Amino acid sequence: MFAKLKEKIQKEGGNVSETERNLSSTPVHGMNRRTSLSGISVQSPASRDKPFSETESVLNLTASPASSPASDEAYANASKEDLIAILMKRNEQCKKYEGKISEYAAIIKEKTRSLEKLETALEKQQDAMAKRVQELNEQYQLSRIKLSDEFKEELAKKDQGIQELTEKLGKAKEEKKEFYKQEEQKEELQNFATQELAKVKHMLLNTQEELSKCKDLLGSKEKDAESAEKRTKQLEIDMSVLQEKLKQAESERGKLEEQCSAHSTLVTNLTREKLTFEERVNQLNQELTQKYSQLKSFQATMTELENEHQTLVRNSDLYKNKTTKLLEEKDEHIEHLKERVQILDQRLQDQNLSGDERVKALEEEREGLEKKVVEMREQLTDIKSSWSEKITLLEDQISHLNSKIVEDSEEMAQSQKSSEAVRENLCKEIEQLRAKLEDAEKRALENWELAKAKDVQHEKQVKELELDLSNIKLEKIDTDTQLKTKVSSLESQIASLETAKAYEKKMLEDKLANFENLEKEFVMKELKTEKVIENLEEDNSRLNMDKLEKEEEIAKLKQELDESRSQASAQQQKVQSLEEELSNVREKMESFQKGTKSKQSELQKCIAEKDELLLRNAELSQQLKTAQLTLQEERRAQKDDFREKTDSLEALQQQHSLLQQQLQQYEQRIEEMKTSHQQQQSSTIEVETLEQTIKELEEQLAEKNRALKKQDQRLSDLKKTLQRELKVQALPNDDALDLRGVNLTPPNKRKNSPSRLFSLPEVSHDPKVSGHSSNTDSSAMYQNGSKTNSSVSTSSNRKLTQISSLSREQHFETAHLEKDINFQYLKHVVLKFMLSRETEAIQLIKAVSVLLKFTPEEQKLIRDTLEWKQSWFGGSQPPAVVKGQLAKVIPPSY
Amino acid sequence: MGGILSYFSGLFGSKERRILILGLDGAGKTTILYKLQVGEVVTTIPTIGFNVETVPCKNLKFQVWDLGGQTSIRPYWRCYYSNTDAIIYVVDSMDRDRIGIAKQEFVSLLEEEELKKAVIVVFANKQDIEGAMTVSEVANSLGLAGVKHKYQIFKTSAIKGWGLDEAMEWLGNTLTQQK
Repeated sequence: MFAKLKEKIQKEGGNVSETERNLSSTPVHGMNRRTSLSGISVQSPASRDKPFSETESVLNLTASPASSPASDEAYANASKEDLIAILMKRNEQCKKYEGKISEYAAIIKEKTRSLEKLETALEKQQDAMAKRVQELNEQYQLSRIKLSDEFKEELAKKDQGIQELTEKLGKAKEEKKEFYKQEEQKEELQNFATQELAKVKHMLLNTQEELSKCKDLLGSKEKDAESAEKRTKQLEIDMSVLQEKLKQAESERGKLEEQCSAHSTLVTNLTREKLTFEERVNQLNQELTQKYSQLKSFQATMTELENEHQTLVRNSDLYKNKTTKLLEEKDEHIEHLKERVQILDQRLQDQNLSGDERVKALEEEREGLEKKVVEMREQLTDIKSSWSEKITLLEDQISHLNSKIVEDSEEMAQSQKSSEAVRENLCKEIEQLRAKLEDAEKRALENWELAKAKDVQHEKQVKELELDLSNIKLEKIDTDTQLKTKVSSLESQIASLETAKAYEKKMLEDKLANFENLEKEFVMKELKTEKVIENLEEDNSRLNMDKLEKEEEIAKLKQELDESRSQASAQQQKVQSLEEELSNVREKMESFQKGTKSKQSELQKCIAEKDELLLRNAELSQQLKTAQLTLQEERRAQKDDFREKTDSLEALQQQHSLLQQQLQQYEQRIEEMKTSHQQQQSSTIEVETLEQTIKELEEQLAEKNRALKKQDQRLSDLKKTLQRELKVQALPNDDALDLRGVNLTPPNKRKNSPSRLFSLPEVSHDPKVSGHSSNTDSSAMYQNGSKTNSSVSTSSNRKLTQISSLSREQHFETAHLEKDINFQYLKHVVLKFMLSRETEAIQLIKAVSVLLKFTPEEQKLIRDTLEWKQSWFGGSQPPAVVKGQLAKVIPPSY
Repeated sequence: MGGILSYFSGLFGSKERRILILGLDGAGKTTILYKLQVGEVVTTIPTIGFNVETVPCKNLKFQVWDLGGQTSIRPYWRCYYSNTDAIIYVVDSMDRDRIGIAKQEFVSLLEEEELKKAVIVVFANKQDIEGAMTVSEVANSLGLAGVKHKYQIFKTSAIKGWGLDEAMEWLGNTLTQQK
């Protein structure tokens, strides 16, 4: 397509170039055309009458596509071979036509003659025409030269005028500048003068103000001084007051010191008392410990006594055992005696009897006696067993008691140990100890009670034992009586036996004597036994006595125990009293300590107050000193200020005088300035006149500028119209470039082309050519003119073409710019389209498609693909399904 | 992903409204857009193309399209007209010479079939400069009296931030009332 278009464009461009060449070479063409026209007009009659070979050949030659304005040589080279072939054919034809030609030759000769005649006539006419043209040209040139001269003259005049005006303007500007400078100088001078005047006035005012201020300051300072003096007086008064206060404070201090000393003495006394109390406490503690030791010793003695008691009890038991043993022995003796008595009785009876009978009786007596002895022995064993049982019971009871006593003693020892431990744990737990002691006492009492109960039990037991003893004695007596009765019975038996004896006395006097001896011995033995019994009874009484004594001893021991307990209680009471005393003493101590503390605090307060007072005193003295110093400084400063101010006043007065002198000088200067100002005013008038002239000139210039602008506008209008006309013809891109290329090479071609061009009867279709043709018509008016004329016309034409080319370039540039903006817009939109998400991209489809001129199908395709991409589940395949060369989608790689 | 987002934004909360900012080049469209979006005056270059920003207003979200107003790219405006809820037409109150062109463009806007239901908001911009046309002058020169659309005119200054909030509030209210 494009290739075709290009061809077309080239053709059209060629046409354009041809027309241009026609345009550019219009004068020559005009000439040629005229000649051609004349030629045609000349030839036309001939062509009607006869065929002309030359024109035919020319036509044949030009029938080839080489009708384009190519060079002649190239054309000739291209057509040679063809021509030879054609010539061969034509030679044959020529031979045929030679005859005809020879016929025609005569006619041609005639015609040539007539032609020559006509040509001569034509030449004549042409010469005449050329002359006319030349004349007209000359006239035109003359008139033109004249006009141009006139114009030039006018222009020169105008230039001169402008130059003059510019010179005048320059002068006026210079004058203006000078005037301005002068004015500025004047203004500056005036400003200086006024400023200096103002400064002087200011200085004066300032000095006056300063003076007044100084006076005020002086007054104020004097007042300050007076007030300061008053202050000093007040301060002195304050000082005296403060000194009095100081004295008072010192006296107070002395008092306080005395109080302090008194307090210190008190404190020392108290400390001494404290020490004495402490000593007392120590002593009491020692006493306590001593009493504890005494208690311990008492307790030890108690334990010893208890031990003795136990030993005594044991001894009594032992004695009891002994007595029982003795009793048993006695019983045994009695039984022995009885047995012997029975034996003796039986012997007596036996003695009465005959030998055998006697023996038998004696034997019977013996047996009876033996039986009795056995009975007695059984009885004795019974008694022994009962006794032993009782003794064991008693022993058990005693051991019980002993164990109880031991336990009590252990408990006592434990309680004492605990009490000792508690006492060792100092007096804090005294009350607890007391409680414990009380408990211990209670226990002791209980023990006592128990002991008493046990004693009572002992006594009871003793009584029981005594009762038993008495019972035993009664039994003994009974047995004695029984024995006595037996004895009496036995005596009666003996008396009977004595009768028998007396019967036998005579026979048995020897035996009787023996028996009497035996009886005597028995009585002796009886006496002895009685004595033994008496001894035993005595022993018993002694034992009883011992028992009583021991009971008495026990009672004594009890009394001692009571006494020791009472002592202990007394000691405890004493301990209590001592503790109370201790607590009292401690309370006193605490109270004393509190007192000392309060007094110490008071002392500290007093010392603090004293320090504060001292500090205040020091501060006040410092304040006084500082106040005095500040007063002195202020006085000095005031004096210095006063001196400085007097100095400054003098200096200011001097300055004032100087300034007055300066003022006079300035006034003189001002007068001078006024004179100069008057002179300047005269010059300003001149300047004003000059300014007016300048304004007029400027107005003229503005008018001329307007005229120029109007002309520019006209020119631009013309350009625009030209552009429009060119736009109709011009095509984008290649067109302009071609045009340029053509425009760069026109003159050479123009020289070469005209002969070829003019032979072509080609007339451009453009309306523009008509305009140019009018130009050519107008130029044709000066056809008769020389080559110079034509050159002028060509030059003018060149100008035109240059203008047109310029406008075209401008047009191209603007088009390029527009294109650039369009391109930028396209780029921007496409970028956004590609970078945005599907939802946003859909909104841009229209813009992109408009910019890229998409067909509706393509638009739809893009929309579908975007919607497909946007959809969640989407078809498995995108909408663009066309494959192969027409595929619009890059197939996916998978 | 965009699909998901838009789907959810459609379900919950505010729907996005599409708004175009139009007007001649140099009227201050881009400055207004970024004043609305960022709240600051940003230095801008002539827009060749367009700018899109989402501007929240009350519970609505405006997707605001600022299209370049140069002469050569003005014809492309019509590519963006579809689905537009409102048009902000910005007029340079200082540019008395081109007010005629502004009116031409405005009139051609109103004749578009795709914008028959759109709400029109006219910003008489650059009111901070002295000697600017008043609102009534701008309204008269645009021929607002004959407009059949729902419209309102505001005096604004993008640089000073005058009138922008009121205008957006009015726009939000009218758009919520419409739908």
